[in-house]
Amino acid sequence: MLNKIRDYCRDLLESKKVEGILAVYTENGNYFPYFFTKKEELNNLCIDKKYLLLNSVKPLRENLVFLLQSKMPGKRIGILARGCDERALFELSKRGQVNLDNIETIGYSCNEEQAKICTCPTPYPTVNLKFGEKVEGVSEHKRWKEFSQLDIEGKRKFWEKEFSKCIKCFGCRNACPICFCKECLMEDRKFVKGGELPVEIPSFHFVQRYHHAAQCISCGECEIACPMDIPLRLISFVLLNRVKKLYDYTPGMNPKQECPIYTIKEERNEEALDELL
Amino acid sequence: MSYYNVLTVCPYCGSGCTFYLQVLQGEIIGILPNKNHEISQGNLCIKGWFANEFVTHKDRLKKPLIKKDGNFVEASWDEALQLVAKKLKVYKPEEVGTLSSAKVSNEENYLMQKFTRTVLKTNNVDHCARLCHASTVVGLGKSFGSGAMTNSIPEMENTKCMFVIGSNTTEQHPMVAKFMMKAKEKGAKLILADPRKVVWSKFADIHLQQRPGTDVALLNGMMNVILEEGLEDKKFIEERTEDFESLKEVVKKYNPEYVEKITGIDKQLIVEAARMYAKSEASAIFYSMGITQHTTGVDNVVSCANLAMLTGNVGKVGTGVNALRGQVNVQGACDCGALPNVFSGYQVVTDEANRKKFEQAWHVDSLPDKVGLTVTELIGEAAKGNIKALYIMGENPMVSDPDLKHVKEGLSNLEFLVVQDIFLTETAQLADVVLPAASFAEKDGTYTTTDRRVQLARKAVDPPGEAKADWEIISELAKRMGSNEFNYSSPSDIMDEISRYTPIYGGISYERLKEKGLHWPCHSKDHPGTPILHKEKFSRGKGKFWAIEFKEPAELPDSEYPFILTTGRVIFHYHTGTMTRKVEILNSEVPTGFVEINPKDAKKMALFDNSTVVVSTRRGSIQIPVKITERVKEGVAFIPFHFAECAANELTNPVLDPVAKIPEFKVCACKIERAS
Repeated sequence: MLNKIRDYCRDLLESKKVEGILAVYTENGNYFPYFFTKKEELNNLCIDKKYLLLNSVKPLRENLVFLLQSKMPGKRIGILARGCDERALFELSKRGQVNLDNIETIGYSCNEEQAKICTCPTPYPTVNLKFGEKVEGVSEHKRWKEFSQLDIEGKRKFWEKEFSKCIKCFGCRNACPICFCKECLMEDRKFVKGGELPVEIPSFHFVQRYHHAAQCISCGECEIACPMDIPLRLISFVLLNRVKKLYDYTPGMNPKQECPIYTIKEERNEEALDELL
Repeated sequence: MSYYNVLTVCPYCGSGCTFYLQVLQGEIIGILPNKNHEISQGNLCIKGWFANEFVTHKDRLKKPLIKKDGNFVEASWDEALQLVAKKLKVYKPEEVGTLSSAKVSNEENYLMQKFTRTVLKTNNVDHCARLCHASTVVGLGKSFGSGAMTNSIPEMENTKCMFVIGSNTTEQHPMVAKFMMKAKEKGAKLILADPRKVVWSKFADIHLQQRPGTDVALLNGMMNVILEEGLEDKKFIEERTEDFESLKEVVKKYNPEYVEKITGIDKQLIVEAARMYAKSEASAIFYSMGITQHTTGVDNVVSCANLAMLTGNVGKVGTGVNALRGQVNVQGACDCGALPNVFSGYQVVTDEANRKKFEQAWHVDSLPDKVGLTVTELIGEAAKGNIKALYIMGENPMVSDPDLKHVKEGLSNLEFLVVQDIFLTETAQLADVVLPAASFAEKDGTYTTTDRRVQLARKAVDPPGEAKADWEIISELAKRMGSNEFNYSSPSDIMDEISRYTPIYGGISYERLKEKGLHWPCHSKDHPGTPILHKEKFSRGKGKFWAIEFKEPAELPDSEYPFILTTGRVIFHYHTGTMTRKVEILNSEVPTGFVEINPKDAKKMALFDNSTVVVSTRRGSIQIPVKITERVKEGVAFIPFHFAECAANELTNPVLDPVAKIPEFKVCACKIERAS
């Protein structure tokens, strides 16, 4: 697959269909996101190592693709996208952060191993899959069994313990591709007091999860960035599931479907709501 | 259009995380954690995540400054260096000194000591390791033969018992704490000895909340229990150590009752902690400033080594005496000879053979044979008028050193002060000449982590304005002062020289570091590095037990100064704040200093949270907001030292450990009054 992708990218660059291609670069055993503009560099392009390309650049609080597009208005950019990159693109475009018209998405699928590492339910681009085959995703969090068996008091204690480990690095937010708010609720002193560890429990973590209830694209970057292995996505999985039931909406799947919290159309599944209540 | 990432080393603590600087069109826009690194694993602490912000801060120094009539005036490099060269030449070797820096690279530290020894012809070179782990270098040297962390960080995931004494690891070495937390999740025990209820205490199986400064008594007490109950590792003691009998004799009287009286810790907890540590199959000690920053700093360190040897917890995976070092390159600055008594690789200056070796290497007729002055002594001698000129690189003694009034007296009394830094620090403001330096992001270089891992940092962008890398500035100055020995084309060149004359770095080269770091000792080009020290034998042959008696701290509370003042740090800031206080999110978390006091003490003085108090000691007094918290015991006050406007070091006691010359930052007597 790698050679085919390199050939395809070479054609794109040679034919000047794109200004450059955002993908992962590798050298000396290390790897990082890179904007490929010369075809000679494509020998360093790699697909087996993952860095989410649509990273949200801190402290600017802008997405990398937003920054690239602002620097090159009207120019076409290629993105060698995994499923998560594509989902991030779709959600960001719904929020005016990227312009899909000028993006050439070169989609490729992840393998099962990668899907497991990220606990990814959809390890392939749903719209722009060009390379590779769709493989089965993972839709259950690795700690779901343990967590779901707890009663309400057990769950409270579970979070109390997990959140106590937090060192307030903001990694879960910093690594999130769809975080771009200039004023972040996690820094809002109404929700979270400043300067102390352990952090405000549970608001510091919950405020972000709820804010992303209908936009989390299940890329897994928040948990990868967490030095203390806090199972943050246990919350997101529950919320995403509810949003799916109520509004038949899964973030990042369909660029045309509006995000339910950004629309005034009443399309809620009342039966599902009754069940939840 | 260009967008790329440059792999470099985080400029803050000694954990050794690496990260990528994201560069868009030649400008650093952000940071990405390195997913392919043993320590980082895609993680960073809050300081690391925002470490690019100070690099591009508007207050960066961009041109050399010369003080004229009390005001700084911008100058050309030519003018500034000419002036420095001319001035430094005036003084006798014993009248000048330099402070090197734990924030700059190995190469730059090596050059600073080479400059001091060959151009200024004195051994008066030191750096802030004096203020943090001088007692480790001496203490572990005495016990084991090597004054560095014995084991490596990632292996700690598999330790079975962690004894953390005097280290607020979650806040000061967050990525070390990560591995400790992983061990905890896997069932390892955690024993915490800390006067404060730091974040760790919630996860500790046993929390020993000792009175500050009583660590020797506590450690002797644990050894007493271990020996009483026959839990010592007899085979290890017999085969690997010496002088066990003298230790045995001294710890006899430190029974749990006696130790309870000294430390204030329930005797049963001491017994339980001793058993827990001795019975586990792999126990690791972690310590930091809580052990080292005392007049008994060396005693404390040696006692930790005693405990580890007594139970055979040295030289194996997940064990050891793990000194956690606080600055990105404080290990490397020591390794590269920025100390008054050793050349690079701890080759002592008083040994004639060592001097001969470096005389030949550096093409000089003779090198000074007398041990130089330490940081603390240099400033004291400046106050007395014996030291007349200082050249300070990347250090800020006007916030970091004890008894700031005295520090200011010393620095102001100098005839000539040169400060080389990235910002106009509190210290730089006192200088006659200020030289603008490049930050970590603007130069190549190697840095050595707390676990002795030498890592390569790479240049991402050019320095701002006319700022230059420290290695370039030192080389240029040396040339202007007549030396022909500073002709380097790159930091890689300098590393080649270091590895040629420094056996523990013998196999280190930029080529090898491209992929990943190497733990010293690494003697040759094919040596794989040494993550664990003292495996088959100790660096000094046999491990040596030292019998240590408990001594009280130099200044104890009395009726006039009834509180024990202890100082430290917070996770959101770093050292003197030169870098972190330029970062918006960190200032939002903790905008200024505070003094922690217990609710009972607050009630006695009718204080509200955040009200302003005056904290005074025999050295000085500061106004500071109060934070009422159970974290400290009654009678104890805690102040983080990062904040110049309410500087803890106005208050601290400059009394020193007799051997390591480290000040007693952790204990002095203070009083607290409501601000009028």
